[in-house]
Amino acid sequence: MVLSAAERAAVRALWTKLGSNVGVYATEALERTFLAFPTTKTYFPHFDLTPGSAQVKAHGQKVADALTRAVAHLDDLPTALWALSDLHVRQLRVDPVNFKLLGHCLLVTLARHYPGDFSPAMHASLEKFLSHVISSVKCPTFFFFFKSFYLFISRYRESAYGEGAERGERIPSRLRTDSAEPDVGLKPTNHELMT
Amino acid sequence: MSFLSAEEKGLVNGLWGKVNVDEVGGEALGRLLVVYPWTQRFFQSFGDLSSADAIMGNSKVKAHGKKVLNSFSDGLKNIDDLKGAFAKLSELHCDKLHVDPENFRLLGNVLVCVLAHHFGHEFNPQVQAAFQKVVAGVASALAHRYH
Repeated sequence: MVLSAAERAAVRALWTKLGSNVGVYATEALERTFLAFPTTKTYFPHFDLTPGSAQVKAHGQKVADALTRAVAHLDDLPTALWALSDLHVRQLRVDPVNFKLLGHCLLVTLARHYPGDFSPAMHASLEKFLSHVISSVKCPTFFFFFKSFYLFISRYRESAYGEGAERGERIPSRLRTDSAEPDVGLKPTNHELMT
Repeated sequence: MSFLSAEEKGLVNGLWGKVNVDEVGGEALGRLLVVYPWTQRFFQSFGDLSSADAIMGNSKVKAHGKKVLNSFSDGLKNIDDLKGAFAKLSELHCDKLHVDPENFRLLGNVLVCVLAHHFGHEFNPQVQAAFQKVVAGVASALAHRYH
């Protein structure tokens, strides 16, 4: 379900209205998530999770900054959020179901604070927006895989062909100076033999 | 052991006493159909569901929402035996209506959003946590007789 132009405009307009309070609402959403869905706390054993905690507030601000970045890049969420995706998938290894729980609590927070704006159409737009963000964060993007594949191939070429491989040079093994074989000098080519 | 603690029961009943069940039922069902359009598959006979306004104004949606939330409200009176309270409805939704139980979870979460929308500051994190337990319990009870 792609966000329509009207849905994007609605999300951007609401985000402008939230202004500098996005961090406050993201923090409240986190607190609601920890209270309503206690299993989510398992990812934060090193945090003080009591309401009002400075660590939760700081993390709320990080979530807010990521969402604000997402709103600014609605046309290319996977690329805009690939670093976050890498972090959550490869390093933190968060079960994706937890992103939905936080997303739901963010909707509840916004419904509570902005009742006049939380029409059914806005509710639907926000739900779609959050679904796209979650989808981008929980699945490493093609860009990430392409980058990893490119790095793997580059390293393979370097080890197989020598330093010049980066520049596309293929150095025949008989001319390599870094060979492990004993130095017996260059062997003559057929052309050299013939002439 | 009770499904909800005494404090949680107090929070739930305290808020539920102020809920206009008929109105909130229609709104919750309407929002479900707007926010998760695939749920409209169960309501093809309801007439015009072509836009958010059409859905929210649809009299059949309102009537059915009222019916759904009155059942939910009856269930709250038997909070310690939700499986028993919803046994017949569970069989109906499986055998006759063929509803994927995932839809009960979606409706539960939409109901929580509607309560937050209506009650604002009163719907604090503790009240939400209690209601999340209730909607999860109801969804689970409705899925219990599936086979």
